[in-house]
Amino acid sequence: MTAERPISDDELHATADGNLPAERQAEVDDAIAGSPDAAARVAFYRRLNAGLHAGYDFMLNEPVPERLTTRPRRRGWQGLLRVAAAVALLAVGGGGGWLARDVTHQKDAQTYELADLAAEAHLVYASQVSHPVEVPATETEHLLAWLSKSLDRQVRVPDLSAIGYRFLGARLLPSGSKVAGQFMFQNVSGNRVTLYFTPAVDQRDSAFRFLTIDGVSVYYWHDDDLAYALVSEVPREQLKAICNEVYSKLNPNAGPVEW
Amino acid sequence: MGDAARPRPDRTPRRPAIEDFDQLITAQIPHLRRYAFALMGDRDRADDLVQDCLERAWSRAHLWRQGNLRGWLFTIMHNVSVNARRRDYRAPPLTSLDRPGLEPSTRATQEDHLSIAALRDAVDSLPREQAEVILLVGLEEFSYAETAAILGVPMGTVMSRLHRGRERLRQLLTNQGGASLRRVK
Repeated sequence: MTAERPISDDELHATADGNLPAERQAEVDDAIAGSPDAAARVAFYRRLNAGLHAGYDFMLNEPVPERLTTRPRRRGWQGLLRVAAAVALLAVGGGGGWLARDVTHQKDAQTYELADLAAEAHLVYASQVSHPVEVPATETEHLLAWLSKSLDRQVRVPDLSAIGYRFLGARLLPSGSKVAGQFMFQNVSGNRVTLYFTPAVDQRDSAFRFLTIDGVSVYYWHDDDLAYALVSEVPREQLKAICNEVYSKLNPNAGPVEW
Repeated sequence: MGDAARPRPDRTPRRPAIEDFDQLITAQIPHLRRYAFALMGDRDRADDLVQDCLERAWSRAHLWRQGNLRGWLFTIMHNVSVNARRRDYRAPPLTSLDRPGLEPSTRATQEDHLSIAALRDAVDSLPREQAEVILLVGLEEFSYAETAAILGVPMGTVMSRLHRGRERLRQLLTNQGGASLRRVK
């Protein structure tokens, strides 16, 4: 039997997996019937799938160990609120959205993740008394060379002295599969602000967005080079003022921030 | 750089329905364990992987928009396993003594079936990328497009890994003495 189109390897796999479009199946079946080699392969792929179930399905019936059913609660009620937010979003979305999700959503998710990682890093390091930073501000030159090399981007420290924040130093952090940097600043009353940054995934500038995560305020945004998240325990309005200063120091040629 | 930034409305949680989300995730744990066991080859490391995946899923729950929770969880587990592998999770090569109580209750009786032990060994011997695709498609029954999304690779890559992996298994299991694959004419 000769099909109009030659049968591809992909179609043999799709036949075994039941993933072939119905209109093509008859042709492929004909071709398989005429080719002992193709028939043997499809038969093997089917038995392989059956064999996988025979070999591993027992795990579905095993009792789940307790360590997996005990829901981690390290984030407390703030974490629950965020789960609630996800559930609320689930309620408005239908099925199938996970694959159909557009690029905007993915980028959105990436910037959210940035804010989340930044908040986490802030909570861990800004509370440290003796070792808040990895490289102190006294070694700024070395520190900038090191971070610029690690992130493969030109990194600068915004000077926040005009609003009373002194640069303490920096740290290099993991950020998903990438690396991130964290600058830390402190004012006279001891309040600390961290600026978390990682290579941008998007080429366009973004708006400033605000989130409260685990009791800290986060403003996050990105330019064409780096994505930033500014984190502190101060209320939103105060963080906004700091954010304005950070943005204008990082972008001396840009006009004032319009909110 | 010069673009004026525009404020965006905050996202505020609406009606909490945490128990539902909890149940949805809990219902997937056996599937995550089955896949992780097949991939890692032993229970402890499989459960470590599932635990990391669940913790990450909980902490990233706000990132989950809508739709296929199962696909989302498997995506997280894939990412966790890649990171884990970077940390040399899988460093000691499989010694495969760790299989207590694994004598399958569904012992192959029909000669048409593959020997389960031989099949597991063959799957363990595959490069991780090929094993992932074979298990996601053949065991977890994800579509090719879903598998591509979970692994973050193009569909063509999924198909070529699937093909190389299955052909490798065919070679191993049909030529190996005692692997009891009945030859097809």
